[in-house]
Amino acid sequence: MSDAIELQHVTKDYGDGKGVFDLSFTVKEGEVFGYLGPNGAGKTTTIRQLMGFIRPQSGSCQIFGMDCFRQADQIQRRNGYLAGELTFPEDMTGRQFLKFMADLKGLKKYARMEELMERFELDPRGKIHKMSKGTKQKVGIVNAFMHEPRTIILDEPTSGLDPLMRNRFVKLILEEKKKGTTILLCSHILEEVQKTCDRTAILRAGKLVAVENLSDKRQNLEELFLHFYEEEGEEEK
Amino acid sequence: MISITLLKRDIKTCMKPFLLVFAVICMYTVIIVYMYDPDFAEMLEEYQQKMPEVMAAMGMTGIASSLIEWMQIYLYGFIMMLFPLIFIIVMVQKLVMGYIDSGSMANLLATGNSRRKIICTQALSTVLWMVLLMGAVTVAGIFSGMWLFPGELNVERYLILNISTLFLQIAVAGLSFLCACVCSEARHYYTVGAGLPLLFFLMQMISNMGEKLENLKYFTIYTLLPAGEIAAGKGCMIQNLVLLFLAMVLFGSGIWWFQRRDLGI
Repeated sequence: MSDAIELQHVTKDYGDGKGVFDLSFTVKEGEVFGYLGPNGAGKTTTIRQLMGFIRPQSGSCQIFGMDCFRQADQIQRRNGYLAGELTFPEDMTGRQFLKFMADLKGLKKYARMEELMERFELDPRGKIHKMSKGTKQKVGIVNAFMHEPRTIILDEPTSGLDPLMRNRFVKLILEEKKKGTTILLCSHILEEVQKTCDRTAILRAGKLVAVENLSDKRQNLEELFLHFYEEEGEEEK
Repeated sequence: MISITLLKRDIKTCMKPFLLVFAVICMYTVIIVYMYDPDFAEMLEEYQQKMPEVMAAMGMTGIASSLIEWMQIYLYGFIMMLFPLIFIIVMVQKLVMGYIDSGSMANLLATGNSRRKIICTQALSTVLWMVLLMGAVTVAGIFSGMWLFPGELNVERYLILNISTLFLQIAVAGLSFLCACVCSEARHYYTVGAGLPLLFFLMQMISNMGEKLENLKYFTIYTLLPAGEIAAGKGCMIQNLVLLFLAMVLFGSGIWWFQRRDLGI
């Protein structure tokens, strides 16, 4: 399998220890890659670089061999994105927003969009700013998956969803995996990471502390993560 | 280069402020034209004598011997400068700054449209809205002139005046646009992108009051619209060219900067 996402020695220093430092990892094509870490570890900074919103100070960041900043438009045509903090235009309904996004993406058919809305029982008629957190999240999920992307970047995709919907989301990820879609998944919900991810990277203070193959592990996940997450706290003591 | 989908969306986004500002300018235009009668002109001249500073600040100086001069004195010193400026500030906020500040620029950029395409579309929208506003105002002005005082309005000079005003407002819009492209937060945009044009506008008002402060006119963009001279039939080609050049530089730098900047979205 070839590499879909490749970071090499990426550094983005925001000062005060914030940012990411000399970060390198690869995600293979068709792989679901978990990306974990405590709050403020640099997960969103990594994602912003993959999305081409910010430029690394040094190092290179590529998706399918294309530079994430300079060739962002080419990459994004075949990439799905779900932001950690969803922001939508105030005046649009769910359907208006999704259609607007579909048109901007150049989609000719809305079939996949409708199918996803049905799957997540999304009622897209109301104004988005009056929707509950979970409903907004569903809009975001439909938006990220509706154009059959080749790579998908997900930042806390199930926050606000009930267990039933979370379950459906896990199924969706597994389906995409079968299709050969490459997925980078940031999540705090360990169960869904274990169910979906082939490998999982753990980030702490902007540095990679471990890349684990979770399917091999029988040990208690929570203990494993706490072990990695807490190291920093111990150092401070 | 341009996204039609986004352009359509921009129409919807800016329609409300446009209609509001247009309605206000229209109302003032009709009222001012309506008030064009010799008795009333005498009264306003009296005001000019009694409180020359206040009237001068609003650009209301001189004696109107024709309808076009009348309109220039009472509309183009204040109304036609301030209300388009308000429209510009609101519009650029909605088309550029709002997307960056709220983070919903991420939605647009995640659709595979390049930054260049997105920002060029927003620049084009900004310019088109200004053209539309000035066009609509011009039509309203000509009609109210023809309706209330048939044959009185020098349409040619009125057109030249409005075209020059359009160039000025596009240059001002360029300034706000550039600020929005550089700023990361709306409050910074309001401080600079709205504050600077407002400061220019105030300097213009103060310099109008004359005497020592008159030199302020060399520091404000509004000096580039010699409305009085246009109404009197003098050319203003150099000012127009300077304004167009300024607009191109300002919009061009905004577009250039936006493509290279980091976006915290």
